[in-house]
Amino acid sequence: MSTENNAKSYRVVLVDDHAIFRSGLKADLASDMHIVGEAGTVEEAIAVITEQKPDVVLLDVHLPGGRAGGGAEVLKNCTQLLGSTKFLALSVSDAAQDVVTVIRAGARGYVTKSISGEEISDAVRRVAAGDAVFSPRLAGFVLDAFGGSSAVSEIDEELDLLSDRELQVMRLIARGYSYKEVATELFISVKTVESHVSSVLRKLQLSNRHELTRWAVDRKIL
Amino acid sequence: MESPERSLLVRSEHRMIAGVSGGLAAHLGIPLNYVRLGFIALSALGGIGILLYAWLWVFVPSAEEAQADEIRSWGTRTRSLAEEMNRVQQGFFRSREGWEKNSSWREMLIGCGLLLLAVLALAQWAGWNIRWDLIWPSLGIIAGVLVAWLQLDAQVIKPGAKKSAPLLIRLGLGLVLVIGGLLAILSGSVGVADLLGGMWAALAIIVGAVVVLLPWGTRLWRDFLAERSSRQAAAQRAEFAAHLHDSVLQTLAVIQKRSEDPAAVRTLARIQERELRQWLYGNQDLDDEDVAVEVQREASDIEQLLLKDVEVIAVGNAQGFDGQQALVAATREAMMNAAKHAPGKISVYLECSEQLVEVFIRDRGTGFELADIPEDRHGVRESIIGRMQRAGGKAEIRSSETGTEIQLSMPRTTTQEETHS
Repeated sequence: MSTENNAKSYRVVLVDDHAIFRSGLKADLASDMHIVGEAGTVEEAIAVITEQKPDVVLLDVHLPGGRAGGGAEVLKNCTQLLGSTKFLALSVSDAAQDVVTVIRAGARGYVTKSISGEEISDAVRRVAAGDAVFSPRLAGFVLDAFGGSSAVSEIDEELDLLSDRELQVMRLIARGYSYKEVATELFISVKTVESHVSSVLRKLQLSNRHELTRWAVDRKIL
Repeated sequence: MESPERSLLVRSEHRMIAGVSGGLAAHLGIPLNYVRLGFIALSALGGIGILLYAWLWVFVPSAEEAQADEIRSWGTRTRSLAEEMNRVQQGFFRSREGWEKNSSWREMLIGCGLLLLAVLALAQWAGWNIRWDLIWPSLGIIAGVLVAWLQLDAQVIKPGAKKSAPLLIRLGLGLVLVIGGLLAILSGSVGVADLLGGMWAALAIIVGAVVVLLPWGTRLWRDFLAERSSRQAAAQRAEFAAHLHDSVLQTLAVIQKRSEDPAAVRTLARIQERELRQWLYGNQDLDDEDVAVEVQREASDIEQLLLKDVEVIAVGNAQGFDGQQALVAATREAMMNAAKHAPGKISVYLECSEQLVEVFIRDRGTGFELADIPEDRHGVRESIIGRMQRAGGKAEIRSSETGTEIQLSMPRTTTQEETHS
């Protein structure tokens, strides 16, 4: 955490419908995180985010209001900001449906609510720097959807396949390795790990891979 | 004489025809044979008994239906062993015994019928004038009604499911028998030409009635469907409430009581979280014997035992391969070691590919050297490495001062392999 902390502070908006969780998270976040706004519903969130244009939005997946679309709906209404404002999804459920929906709507990463304030702060810095944040759980979902090494004929787009390296990185993250540990394990730099993860995220967001759709349909996500 | 424990009026499972008599006997508290005699006596009075029997057959639910209703309202709340045993006993054993008693009764009934026919034949031979032209069609009608109506007790047809062919055949057979019987009886007193004309008239009347009553009928059917689905929703709500009560509320109560013990509170919350998550979002479509489910189960077991966080990520699923038992046991041992010796969270990653099932158990302890473990300690050497090798798999241990990772892999070889993607 100290390596990237070059006296830069981050403007953060907290979106969660539970006031208790918001205040707990505020107390937990590192000192370089400045909470510039809070919201508890979809409408409030969209208003606060468009007004404040923060660096990072910590976005709960389940939110009341709007058209019952939760965090993904907030993302869809803030697409014009996606270049400058990064979204990090928070969820208590860890369900494939929640996670994949917000990621495909444009979130740069996903963490479980039960992780520590320090880990969340770290994730915020990472996301603000343009990287993706994968929890082991999310890596597991990606492997489930893209994995299976089904290198059969129908894969024509580059988007539809993870490279071997990307699969390796995902597998290590799923095994509980931090980015740094992944880098050591594969004899590559942390920067390279980050770029692999970002590329996986891009594929996850853009791919219309047949299997991803089927996987999602199987799990009643789409 | 309204006794409080009077049993519900349901058709009994001890049935000779449809279980009406048995149900009535149980409901009224009268010996079964009296009820049967009563029906027979009433039937002799111009067939009132038959009509009454038929009426009850259609409108009184069978014991199975009532039981299904009860099970639905019973919900999924966790039951004590005693309750469970009680239910099982009531359910299985009684109906089984009833079935055996039943079949002998049924044989007797058939025997009586044959005897009656024989007596009638004998009477005719002796010179009595028996109206066979009435008896045969009547028998046909009765048989047709029985054939068609017995399916009332066949399994309830699910909406959307296709009606099974035997059901339709039985319905058709019953219809032909009854109509044929009626026509045969009538043909004795009415001429054939008149009969045909009458048939056309009857057909016209039926068509007219159907046209008039169709909207009403469909509305009734739709109402029925709506009512049923709302009842299902209510049952589901009740199930949710029961589950939340038994799990979350109970845990919250315990947490309040033990609020001065942070470790216990944390563990309780964690266990409850896992349980609730499994219930809400779990892989309901995976079998209990699936390796992913088994590893998950072992992990939560260890969490409860040693108060450690164990996060299990599973990709793919597999079951029924040869070394599954050994793999799960070795995984448990590895998780147990990690939980005992290392601080912090334990990450477990399970991946099932076509040829291989791999498990990685990673902790953040200070590491150890296999050579440093005394010879007499069997944990790692026997329970993990030895066990995996005997089952045809492999175990590797990578340990450094930042943590230990145990890697298990087991080939997915089986004679008959079951997978569902």
